[in-house]
Amino acid sequence: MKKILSKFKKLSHREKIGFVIAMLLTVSLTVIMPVLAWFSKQRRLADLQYVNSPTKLYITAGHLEEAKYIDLSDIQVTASTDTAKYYVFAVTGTNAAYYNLQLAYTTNNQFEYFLYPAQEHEGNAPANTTMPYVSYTAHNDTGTDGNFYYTVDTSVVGDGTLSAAACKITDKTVITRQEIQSTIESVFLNQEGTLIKADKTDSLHGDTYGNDFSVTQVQDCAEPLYWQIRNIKSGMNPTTRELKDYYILEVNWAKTKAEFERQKIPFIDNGETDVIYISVASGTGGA
Amino acid sequence: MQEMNMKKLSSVKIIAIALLIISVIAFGSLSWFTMSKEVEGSGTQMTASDLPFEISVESPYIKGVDYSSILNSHFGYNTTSHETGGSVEAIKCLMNDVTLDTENPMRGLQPGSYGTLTFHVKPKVTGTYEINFNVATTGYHAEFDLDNNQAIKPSSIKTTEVNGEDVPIFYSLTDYATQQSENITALNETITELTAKGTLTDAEKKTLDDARKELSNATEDSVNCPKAARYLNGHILFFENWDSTTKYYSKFIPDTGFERTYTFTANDVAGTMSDSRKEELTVTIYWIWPNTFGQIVLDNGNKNLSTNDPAMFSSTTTAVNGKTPRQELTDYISSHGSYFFESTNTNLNESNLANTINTLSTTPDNIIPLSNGYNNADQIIGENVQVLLAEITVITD
Repeated sequence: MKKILSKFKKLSHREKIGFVIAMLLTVSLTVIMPVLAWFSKQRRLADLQYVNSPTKLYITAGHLEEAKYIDLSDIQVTASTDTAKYYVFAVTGTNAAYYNLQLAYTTNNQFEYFLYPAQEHEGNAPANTTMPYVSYTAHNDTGTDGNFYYTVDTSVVGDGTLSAAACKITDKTVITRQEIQSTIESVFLNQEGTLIKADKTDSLHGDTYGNDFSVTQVQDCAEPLYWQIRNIKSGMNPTTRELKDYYILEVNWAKTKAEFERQKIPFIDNGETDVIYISVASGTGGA
Repeated sequence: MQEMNMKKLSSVKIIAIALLIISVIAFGSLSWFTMSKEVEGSGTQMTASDLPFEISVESPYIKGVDYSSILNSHFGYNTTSHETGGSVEAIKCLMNDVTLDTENPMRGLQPGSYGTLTFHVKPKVTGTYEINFNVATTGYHAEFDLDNNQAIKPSSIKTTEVNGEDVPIFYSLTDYATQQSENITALNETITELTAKGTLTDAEKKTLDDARKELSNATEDSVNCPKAARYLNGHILFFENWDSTTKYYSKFIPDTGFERTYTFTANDVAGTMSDSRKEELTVTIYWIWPNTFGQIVLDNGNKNLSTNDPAMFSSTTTAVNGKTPRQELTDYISSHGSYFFESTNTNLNESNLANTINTLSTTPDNIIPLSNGYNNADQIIGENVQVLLAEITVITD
């Protein structure tokens, strides 16, 4: 090594530069050759594909509290002049631009169910008395007095606008199922023409009870109705991709027995218990 | 005089560096020479820079989102040619997702997606060759621009202008994790600075709040992006065979790829082969992103298996070389647990995993931790990977 160095030192400046350039060229040649050879020794195929974002969806009680706080008890059909009671629940989660909401319920009582998109208010009860509210007392929130109020949100739901008048709870001009159907896609899976069937001939019997119970083993009122509202555009925050959409659920018992019978919905006059399932699944949206 | 000394010193340095480079290069070229000798040894006329075949695809048409321009500009794939050869070494093929429907064509891959990758081997030089096919997936992260509360979809990926065109911004998962780690340092400084201040203005309070939120996001991303890259290896599975009647998969392709030996005849080279021969020279790779882990380990009819996500294998399939198609995969899973499960369950750690999977028939409840771990990993992939690159490399010696 020393010999090479001393030989190199003896060279003139010009020769030194030439030597270094020559060496660098040799080096780069050697580098290029194997690289080229490597690339040409193979063939490659590829495709790029988009990966969908996973959706998280939950049903919660008011103020995004656990679903166990959704309490539908204390409905006194005969003891009061009211013909309806209101409750609040929320659809929450992430990465859901659209979702489908389903209410599945048994028909022991002559109840009808209505849904209204709602807005949350904190602190004092809303002053505007023409727009009634549903109140909810938080279980885990120590802020203010822990009371939250929910009024019907008259802004856009789905692709159509629900008018303020139609959403008013007081005058009972509630959105009928037909009206919802004309604005956002809403459907009774059990519907056949104008009839909403819950009897045991329904093909959904198998989906509900599987093969464990035959149709003759299940009482008519225990065959649930499935009501679905599809492709509701969520109120997802564009930055955090989180959503918290509140809903007011109306349990209404104004409908007469004759009306129920006309629609072939069986019910028992003195029924005590009904089961209602609220579920949510991600929707496909308008792509 | 001193100036002269400095000059001498610097030329000595250049020499020293040049010598070092030479020694490094020597190693590299030596191995290359060995490779080239092997080629000569196989007795063919070709040179080291050529292959005895080319690859063609039917038509690199688009199904779903068109990322052709990115595939071309970012990854150097020729997206107009249907065949390799000449200067074209890499082409686009179609990861044909048969679960994509016309009803919602913008949908991308997700657990439950499956399809095929098909291409043809086009013989150029007669002879017998062992060809290695390697399939690999790489995930890329993207951020979304959702100004108008639009749906999360490919067209809302943040873009940048390149040569007057809006090009989506992709990050490699490791790059993104590194970037987020740097972000964490900066955010922590901001938080420390503001907390030390005591009383804050409303604007400062907002900055502090935002910094805290961003910190938790950045921390999550820096941890989960590398994990997502790892899980992709195990969640998108490739097979050489799929039975269209039974819907069962076989011949799992591990990360080392698979080999096929072809003898190219003169007819093959001339392109005058029969239809059945053409079929022999067609390679179809079946890919699936199983929706549930049960699809891998359970038989159809098992109560823990939904009919929407049918079994990929059957216990009754005949074993080849002592292993059923399912065993081939489960053995791979047992030794590559980190590709498959996000879990702290001890049944899923390295030393117990094989036993947990192999004793499922006697301990059926173990499907729960396996299934949960698999789903959690899917969640991490979905949250961090927005674009997937599937690459097939074809090599012969």
